[in-house]
Amino acid sequence: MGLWLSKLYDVFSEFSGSTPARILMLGLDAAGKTTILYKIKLNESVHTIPTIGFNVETVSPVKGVSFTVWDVGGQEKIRRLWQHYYQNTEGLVYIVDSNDKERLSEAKDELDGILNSDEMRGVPVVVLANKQDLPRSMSPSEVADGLGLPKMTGRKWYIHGACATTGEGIFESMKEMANLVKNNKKN
Amino acid sequence: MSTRSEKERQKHLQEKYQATLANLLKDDDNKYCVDCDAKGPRWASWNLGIFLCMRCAGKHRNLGVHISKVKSVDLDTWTAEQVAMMMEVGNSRARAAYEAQVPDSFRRPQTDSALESFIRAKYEHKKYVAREWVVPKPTIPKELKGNTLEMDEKSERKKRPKQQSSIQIEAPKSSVPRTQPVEKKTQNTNPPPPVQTKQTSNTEDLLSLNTSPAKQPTTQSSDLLGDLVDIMGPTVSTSQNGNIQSSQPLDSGTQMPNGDLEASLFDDGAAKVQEKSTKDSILALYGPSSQPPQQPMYGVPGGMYMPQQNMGMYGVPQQHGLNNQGMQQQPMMNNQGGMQQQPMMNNQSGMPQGGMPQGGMPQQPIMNNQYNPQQGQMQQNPNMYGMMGQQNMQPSMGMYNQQPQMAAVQSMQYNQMQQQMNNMRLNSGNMVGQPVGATSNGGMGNWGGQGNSGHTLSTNLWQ
Repeated sequence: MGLWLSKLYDVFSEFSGSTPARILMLGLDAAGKTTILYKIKLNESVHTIPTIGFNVETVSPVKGVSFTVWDVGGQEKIRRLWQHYYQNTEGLVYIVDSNDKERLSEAKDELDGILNSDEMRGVPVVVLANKQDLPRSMSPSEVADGLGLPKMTGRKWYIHGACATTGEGIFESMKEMANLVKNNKKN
Repeated sequence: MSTRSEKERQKHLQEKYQATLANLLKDDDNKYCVDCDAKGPRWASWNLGIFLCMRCAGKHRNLGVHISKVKSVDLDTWTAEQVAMMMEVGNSRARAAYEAQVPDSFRRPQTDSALESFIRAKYEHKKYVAREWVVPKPTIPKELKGNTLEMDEKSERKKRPKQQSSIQIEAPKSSVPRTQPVEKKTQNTNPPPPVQTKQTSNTEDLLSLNTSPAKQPTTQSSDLLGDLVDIMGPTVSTSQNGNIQSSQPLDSGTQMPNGDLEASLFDDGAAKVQEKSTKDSILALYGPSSQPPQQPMYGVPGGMYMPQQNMGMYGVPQQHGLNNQGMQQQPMMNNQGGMQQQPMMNNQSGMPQGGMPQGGMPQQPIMNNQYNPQQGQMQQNPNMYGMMGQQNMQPSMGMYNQQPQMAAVQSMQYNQMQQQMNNMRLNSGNMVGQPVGATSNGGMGNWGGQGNSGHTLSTNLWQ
């Protein structure tokens, strides 16, 4: 009986006691951050409008994983607000519009800016090469090269193609995020 | 990177652009969203040259940048090229072009999904487009140029060649395909190309359209310069635009005989354009007809692509090999048994939906558990991340405690979110000028949504 109670207590404390990992989701405007957030949350493709400010949701993209995902607007002049979300971030999800070749270098610059911050040191990055359904979108490896991921040191990264409207690639990436966060915590 | 004076110049230019855009928005043409007639648009699709409300901006973003490149008037920085496009087209002209074949009885849809269908039909499938419509290629008016080469620093302008010294074209405002650089080259080589003839048709008298960012003290047309120097002064630019926007749709319609180059361009987009060796930006305008050159593996119609295993790429590849499954059992992760997920989701998703600006959210909190197990290979890098390990237990606590000074007069319902929200408002208010007020319907909605979303967070974090 005592054993059973303690097991019950364990089960209970597992979901009420621990905090969801804090995940920050950034990327240029119109990359698909909000769409992805609500795809994870609701498994629905929602009608979004440009995010001014942020959205935050606690999601459980994979069984046994809970994230608090902060989705911060990516319009150029509000990118400087990103830094206020860095602290205590355990994982960065960086969304890239694979269809937008012209702005890939801009995406790289912004990513570099994020990762150079002290508060983001060592935080693992999952890059989602979004909008793979659009014509002439870049492949994930092209995006990875464009972002300079192969040269990145000091953190773990992972890139995955995705299509926010169908959900392709998103849940796999979230699982990867969970792995990276977990390992990062252990180390 | 850039020196102080360059920054100053950039800032000055941005102010110029902002003033120009503000003037454009004062124009009667642009007082309403081009797609849904909402009042006071503060967003734009610069490659289409139209002003949009926030909601339609969201729809346009769904089209992809090969069709519509959306920018905020207030929250983005602009380039001269982009502003010139807005001056060139504007909502009236765009309606004449993209809604030429809309039936008389047509009523603008107002619901989300109908609006999206309409926008897709209009711009993606070009269902209503005027047959003779050619996407104009604006020349950058003098007044938008700095005296020197500041603009080519923008990434958007990379497609523009930086040469082009001393080419003078008349009729900067004429409608010409967007391939300006190339066209100018042709003018260099063959003096009277067809394009040139067309350009003269609707002349607005700003000469010297060398778009060249290269420094080039335009000696000619100094009087024009004089006129245009204070283009930021309210009347000049708006009146010019007014003229153009009202007259040009007609022009472009009647002009086809000598504009046959463009006609063929339009009908037979990709091929011609490629002949002209323009860059992908123009190809993008004809998205449907142009084939994706690269990325063979995602070419399957319907958005399918390669299996996940091939798409994933890991950093630190040399350290592959540790198979991580069963991470759900790790104590550090927030473990939830499968049965707890539903209650939790119910708890959270009711609130944010109500406040979500998007409005189109379903009310039932469907949790997605259809995760496809992927063969997960994790690289292990044990010695790198010592510092992150301990500080994560109360992440949001840290965040809130950190910003006590940000608390201000706002009255949000939820205490924890309040500080965060105020922080956001203050900051954005400072730098954006008027983001909330300007986008009043959309912007406020969004804030409200965030407030409610914040509730989601706080219930969860503080439970």
